[in-house]
Amino acid sequence: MLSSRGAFIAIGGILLLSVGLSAKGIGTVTTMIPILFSGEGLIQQSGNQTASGLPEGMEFLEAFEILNSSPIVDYSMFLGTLLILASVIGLPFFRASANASLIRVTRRVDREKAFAGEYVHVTVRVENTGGKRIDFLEIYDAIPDMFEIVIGENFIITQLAGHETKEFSYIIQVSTRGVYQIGPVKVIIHDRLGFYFEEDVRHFYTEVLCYPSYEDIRRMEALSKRRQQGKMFGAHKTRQKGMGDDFHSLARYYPGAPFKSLDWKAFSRTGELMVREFEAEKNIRIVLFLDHSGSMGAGIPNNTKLDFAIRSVMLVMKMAEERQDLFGLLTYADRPTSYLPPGGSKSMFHQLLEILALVEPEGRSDPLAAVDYVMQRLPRASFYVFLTDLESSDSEIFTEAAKRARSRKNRITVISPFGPLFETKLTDLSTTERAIAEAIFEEYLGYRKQVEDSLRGLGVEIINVGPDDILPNVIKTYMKGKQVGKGSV
Amino acid sequence: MATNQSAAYFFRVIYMVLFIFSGFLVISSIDSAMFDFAKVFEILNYVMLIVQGIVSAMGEIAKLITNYILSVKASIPYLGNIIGDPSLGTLNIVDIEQTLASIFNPDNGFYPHSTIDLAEVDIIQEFSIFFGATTILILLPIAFFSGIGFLREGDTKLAIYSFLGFQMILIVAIFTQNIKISTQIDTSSLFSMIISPIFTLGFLLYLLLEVAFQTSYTLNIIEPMSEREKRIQGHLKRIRTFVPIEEGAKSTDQSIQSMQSSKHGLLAASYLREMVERRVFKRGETVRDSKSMMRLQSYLANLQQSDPRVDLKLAAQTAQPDASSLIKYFIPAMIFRIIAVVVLAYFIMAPEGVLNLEILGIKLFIFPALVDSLEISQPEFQTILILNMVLILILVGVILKYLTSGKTRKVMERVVQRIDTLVDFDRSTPQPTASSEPSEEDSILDEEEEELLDTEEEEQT
Repeated sequence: MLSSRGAFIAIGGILLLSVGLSAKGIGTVTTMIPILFSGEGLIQQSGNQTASGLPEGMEFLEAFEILNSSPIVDYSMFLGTLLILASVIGLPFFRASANASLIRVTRRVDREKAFAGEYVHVTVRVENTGGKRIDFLEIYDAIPDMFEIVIGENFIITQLAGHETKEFSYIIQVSTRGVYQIGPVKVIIHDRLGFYFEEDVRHFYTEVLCYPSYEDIRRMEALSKRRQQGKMFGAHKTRQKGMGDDFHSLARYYPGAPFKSLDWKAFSRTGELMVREFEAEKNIRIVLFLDHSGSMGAGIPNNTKLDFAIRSVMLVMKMAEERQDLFGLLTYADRPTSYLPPGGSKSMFHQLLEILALVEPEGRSDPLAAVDYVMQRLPRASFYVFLTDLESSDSEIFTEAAKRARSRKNRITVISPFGPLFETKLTDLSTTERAIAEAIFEEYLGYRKQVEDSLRGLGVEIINVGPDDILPNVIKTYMKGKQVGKGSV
Repeated sequence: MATNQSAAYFFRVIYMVLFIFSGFLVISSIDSAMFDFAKVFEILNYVMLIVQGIVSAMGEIAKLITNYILSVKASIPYLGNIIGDPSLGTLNIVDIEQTLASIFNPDNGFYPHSTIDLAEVDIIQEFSIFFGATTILILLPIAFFSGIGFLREGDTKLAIYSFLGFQMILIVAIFTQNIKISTQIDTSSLFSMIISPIFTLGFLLYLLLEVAFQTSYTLNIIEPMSEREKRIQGHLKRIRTFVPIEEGAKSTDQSIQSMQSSKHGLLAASYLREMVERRVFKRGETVRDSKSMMRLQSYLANLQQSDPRVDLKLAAQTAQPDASSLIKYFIPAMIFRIIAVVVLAYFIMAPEGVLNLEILGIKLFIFPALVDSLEISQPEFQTILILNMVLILILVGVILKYLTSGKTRKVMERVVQRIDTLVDFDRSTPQPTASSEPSEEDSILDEEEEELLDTEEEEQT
């Protein structure tokens, strides 16, 4: 294929040929005019002839007499011929040597699964399987917009001898969870002078699964280490008084207290009857309901309600794993999309990551279907925590879902990201915009009040959260549920 | 890398030498009349005078029309007296006559040949000098500075401007007959054509353009890769020698302290809140950057352990073009192109010689009506020959492409393999390749074969 440079040269040649031919044509006309005018009729009409042979009044044609002389024609024709030939002479050689199908490109990544914010090393190997040398080769490896090249470049401009192999690599940072494809690869071969090129797009892809960011968990793990060192002693106390083997405290004797729990030593010291109280650590069964309906996708890119909800799920999951609680997850939109039954194994965390990586905001929200789905598979009472913005479903459906869940003695808490807080900050707005935003806030709050009123009688707690307090509130809810023993195993 | 740089300099030096030589030849071939820049200003003055006269005449005509319209009104002369222009309201063509006379008056002082009768001045000659000098005045600096610009920047557009500038100067010089060298291209033989001064000059200018393209190729392929290598090596060095700032540690301590004051095991919450705030309100960028640098540092260290050549790959050092081969292949390729273009150009410009060619007493072309035709030396015939030549070259290209394509090669290899199998039954089956991954071509072929089979099955059903 002729490149723009080649086309420029060829068109230049054609133009020059045209100039040559035109000049020759005009020159011929000026030669012909005296002959035409020397005819009897014309001579008689025009009267006298001038010295140059042109009729009187047509002397201006002398200006074009120059065109009748060959130099300008010859030079235009010569230069035009030269340019046209130059633009096509190398074509057969280029065709013979440049064959994009003989370029084999392979791509290798050091990991196919990574957490958001982590790095992936991509190595591209280019091999000329043909025997001919390629003078000018360009390789472009396309990467998704969400990836950022941290080191290196995803293209190369080089030359490749026959059967030669070259490698280049680059490091990308994946910033957002999801499944991404690296590719396709574009191969462009040019000739040395840049007159021709051949392009081939190789549609082979490498899939990279990007988990949600591990940053929150990493920080929490750092905190745990400090806690183990004694810096945060007592911060993790989640034991509950009652039956158990661990001593909790002494209390005054009360009628009905078991006789064996009397502490005689304390009686001898104080002269009052004292009983020993014991405590036991409670494990709970918690099921998170993650709403990924369309409205959950609202907010600043990469910081949407859904993104925060996913981070919350990951945090709670990790905390539950550490505390040996049973943790389950159901993602739903207009139907349940994935379900991870409550469990406590290490492998569950990877399953959870895969589920969360693929969750996308879509459709409406049907919490009733979600509750039904879980209750059919999990008959035992659990602690249900909904992460939903309550915007994609009617309050009646949610009330019905809560009723059904409560009928099986499940405990419910709804953590609800409050839409307007995720989309803008009031301080950033002008006075008019702020007034409009406040009106929208009121509208949203009115609706939430309505839902809260309908659910209050069922003992469902609704916590409205913004981007800056969603994570603390989720953790708080979990810890509180654990303390109270919601969904105790 | 030093070799690569020297290759770039090598091509630049060649371009510079050719540029100076060509520029000198072009300037020395042009008649000194084309450098008569005073003529440009004289003629421009005259043109200005004509424009002035036309504008003045138009004003007078407008005044005439106005006067004619206003003269029907009795009060207008009175008005004219009031505004101080007694001519208003009267018909006056004296001004027009005076203006026109001033334009064509030889003593007007504007026209350069005021002492010569206008009828004796060769207007065509005057304007050809004006045209030539203007061309030089405009195009010579463009050609010159573009050439220098190309040497600095390596942008081919500048080389093209330079080429066009020189060529336009030559064409104008030929057109205005202000050229000192012979403008006839002697096509009696190939050698005489080559030594024709105008051919040599035109071809040299084209050669300059081609060398510019070659230089540009070298710069395009070498310089970006060298810069990339330097840049990435610098990045890698900075990352490896990066020392985290103290702020990060302080920040963590402060956040830990703030957490200790919380209740209900929600100590993590405040820390997370801070983290969220950083993200949402874009605070603590430096600390975060520092941490991501640390992560990148450790990631690179791990990569280095698993693959010691990772630096070379990242900097694309392993993919650097070989500068010596650039020079090695440049000279024969250029010579071959020159020879091919000159020979074919000769064939097109003087087809009689080739068409009358005899080998062992046998004429190559046996069409006397064509060979002996007067039209054979006409530009139209040249055009037809060029068209044919271009089409032949394109066709040859297409055939070569087909013959050398991977698919054809693969099919040929398979055919050969099958024939070999049929011929030699004892031959053991070929060993599988080390790579378990099928090649691109294999997969493409397989897909195509499957598609074909599917189509056939569909047709059968």
